[in-house]
Amino acid sequence: MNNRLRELRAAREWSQAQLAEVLEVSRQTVNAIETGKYDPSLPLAFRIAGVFELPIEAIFSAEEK
Amino acid sequence: MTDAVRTMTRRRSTFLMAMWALGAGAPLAALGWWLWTPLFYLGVLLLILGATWLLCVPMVSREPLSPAHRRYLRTFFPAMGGYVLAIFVFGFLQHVALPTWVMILVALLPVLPMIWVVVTIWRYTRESDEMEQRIQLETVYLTCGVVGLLAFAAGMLEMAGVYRFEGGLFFVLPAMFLIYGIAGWWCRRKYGLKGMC
Repeated sequence: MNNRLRELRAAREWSQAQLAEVLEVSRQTVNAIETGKYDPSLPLAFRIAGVFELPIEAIFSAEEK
Repeated sequence: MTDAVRTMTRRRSTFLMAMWALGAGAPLAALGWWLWTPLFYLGVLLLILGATWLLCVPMVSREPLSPAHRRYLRTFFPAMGGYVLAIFVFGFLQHVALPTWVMILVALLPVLPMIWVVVTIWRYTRESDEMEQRIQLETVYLTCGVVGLLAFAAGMLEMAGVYRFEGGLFFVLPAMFLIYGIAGWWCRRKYGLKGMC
């Protein structure tokens, strides 16, 4: 799954640690999502969408084959 | 201890765990060499675990630990200290003629701190975020698989009369901890994380 998390976080000038605190996950989890090594669960994806006030599909998209 | 744990980083905690394993492994191996062979093997297992942790130290980040990880360490160190102490007591007393009920108490003494450790790992997993829980799931599955297969193979060799593993069941739990550490390191790599726990 592709995502725009790094881009959206950078636009708000947040560090990974700051975003992690808001999402109540570890900084490593934010990093793993940004680098595409971990796909978040649906509840976490909704939390991320809520933080950035965007629909989920504006942040996450299916990987093109 | 509480302040030290509060400001502890992942790297420092890995270093302390390595020092603990090496510090406990060396006297256990020495005592085992002198008293009881399974104790020697346990000491060697701890030395391997400690050396592996020590090799991992430079790769581990200097980030502060999460509250769940701090709570885990606060319990882990005293419990493992109690385990080693109880094993020492057992090593010294096992060849002494004692009433059966005393021997049962002495033999089961090391089990008590390990119950504490198992509960602590379970609590740590429950308090962790979803990615850590997934890593723990994969780690525990690998650990159970590897230790189960090793125990099965050892049991088959014993039944065939090819080799007898002295104190075989005694090693199941230490082997689980050793494999848990290595499997944790392996599973974390996939998510871009370094370190064993």
